[in-house]
Amino acid sequence: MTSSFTRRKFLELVPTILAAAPAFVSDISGGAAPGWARADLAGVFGSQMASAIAIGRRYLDACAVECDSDLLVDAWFSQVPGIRGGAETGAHDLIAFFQDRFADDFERGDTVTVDGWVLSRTEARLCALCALS
Amino acid sequence: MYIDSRQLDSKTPIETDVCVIGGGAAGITLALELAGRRLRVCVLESGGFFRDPQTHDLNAAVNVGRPYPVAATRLRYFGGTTNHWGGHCAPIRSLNFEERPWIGDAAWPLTRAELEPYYARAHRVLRLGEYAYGLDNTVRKMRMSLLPFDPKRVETVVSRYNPLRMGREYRRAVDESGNVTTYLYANVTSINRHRVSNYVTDVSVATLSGRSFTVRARYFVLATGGIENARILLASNRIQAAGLGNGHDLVGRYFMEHIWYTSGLILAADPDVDLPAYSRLRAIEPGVGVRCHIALPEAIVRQQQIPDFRAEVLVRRSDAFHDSVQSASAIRDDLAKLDFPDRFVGHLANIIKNPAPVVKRLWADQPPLLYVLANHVEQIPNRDSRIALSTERDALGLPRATVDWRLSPLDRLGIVKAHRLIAAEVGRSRFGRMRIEIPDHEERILDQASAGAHHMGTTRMHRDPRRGVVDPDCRVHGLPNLFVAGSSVFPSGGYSNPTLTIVALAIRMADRLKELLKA
Repeated sequence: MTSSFTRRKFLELVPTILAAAPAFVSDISGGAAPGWARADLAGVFGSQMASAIAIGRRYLDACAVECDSDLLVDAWFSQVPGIRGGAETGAHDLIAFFQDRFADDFERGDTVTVDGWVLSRTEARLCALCALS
Repeated sequence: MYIDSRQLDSKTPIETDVCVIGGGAAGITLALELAGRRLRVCVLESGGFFRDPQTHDLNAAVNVGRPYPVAATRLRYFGGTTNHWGGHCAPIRSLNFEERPWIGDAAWPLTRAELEPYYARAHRVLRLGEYAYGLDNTVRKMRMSLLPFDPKRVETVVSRYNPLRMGREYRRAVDESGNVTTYLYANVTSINRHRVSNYVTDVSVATLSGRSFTVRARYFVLATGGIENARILLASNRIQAAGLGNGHDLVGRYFMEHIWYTSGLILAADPDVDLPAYSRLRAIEPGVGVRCHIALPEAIVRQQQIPDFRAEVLVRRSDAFHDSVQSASAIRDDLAKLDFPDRFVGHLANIIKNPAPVVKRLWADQPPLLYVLANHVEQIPNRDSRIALSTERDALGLPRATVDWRLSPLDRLGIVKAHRLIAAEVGRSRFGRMRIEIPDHEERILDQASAGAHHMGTTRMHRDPRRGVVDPDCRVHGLPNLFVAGSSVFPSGGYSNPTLTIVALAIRMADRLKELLKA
């Protein structure tokens, strides 16, 4: 089970991951890759958070069994390289990791359909996490 | 030479070597290929050089099946439907010539390789420039960006376009040929067979002005289009009640179209992506355009066991969607039918967008870029989809055709599978996300689908007379001197627009006739 501290940071980064914005992040932070303790990205990426929540709610409507943030976080948290190391994993690495996971999901056919839109299961779950948090 | 049959006063039958019934793409091609040879050719064209309402009314048919725009899809004057076509050309793929048990009895009794030299010659007739459809010698040579898809999953294919009006283009050449006489306003009402032998002896011709005459020939070619070819054969029933060449109840059956179905949205992650190769025609040579579409590779079609699939990719900004209720455009009307509560597409765009290096642009109120798929899909040959005869009669006393166009659940399933594959590749390639919009339950299969105005299959080709109306030479089984030209002979339609193949087959037939007549 992950600590509430690292889970909170993970949740704050979810919109960033979904926006896949490595340039974004470095620009906002003045060129240096932010560490875990830096800006509240959920606040910065307010519009993406709202979108993630909207999509997440749709996903949870269709997949009520995943209506559990612990389950969703644990599903991914342990797979992120170095995530338990906290500060060692930069947002950039996290974004790249999940972008690869999204592509892998499509490659393997692990997709979900939300309102007709075919999404990576991982991205749908990340959105669900935003909706639950 | 052109003769107005309405003025003809001929009690003496017209004698010729080759009688071509129909002055459309196939008929004009045959005339051109036989021009200048030591043989007489007569072309019988129902109309004149321009559309006239009374002649056009002879095309009216009775629709007894799903909605089908019969009158709009046919023209009845010199040049036929090349008088209003879009000029879209591509050869039929090799896959379509093969046995494909998953779509039934659809193999062609010839191979793509056998037709290849005729495709190249057809390019000259249709003024399409170089016979080249590969990406390297078309769009890549023009340095155009392509979709970032793995071609083993979803490929880009190229079509060439030249909306050549064949009647106008070749009117003079046919006139000056010396050995071709074209009878305008000449409507064939019956193809007549000798009572004892199986030879066609003559055709009966009538005009709307009340004239009539007969034409005798050594060889006859029926080239009036997929609906009319069947109609004329069925109506030629003085000796064989079921119609000429219809000993096995195949004439008129297997009526196929290209399923035209606007469905499927792709949301691009990059709002600045521009792919004119797909959205616009680009000139590759004077008078010739090229455009890209997406298709499933042949290997995937075989693996998935679905009909052949191609889609045009139409570009729209999503603000066009929001304004769609005001727009008369067909695409915007389609988007208007879609239900997007909570601006889901905007949310999705926010999530997937892959920003350009300029950060500020990310915050601009840039509407996301949407692509709409205009699917152009092969129909599975369906025996019950057919052209038959009505009890209604036209002004010449000929029974009108009935059109009963039918689709099957497998047609729908093929598109669903194709869309799932495309959606997977859209995501895998990081291009964006796709929405599949085919309803799970509909009163009618693919309720919103329309047709590509390509009439195919009604006198299908097969070596076995029990499974086809014409043989591999497009000669009617059992009738040694009657040939059929046009897309009615196609055993399967593939996804390619048919005109290039129609012209290629007509050239091939002309070569055969020259051999037979030693001309």
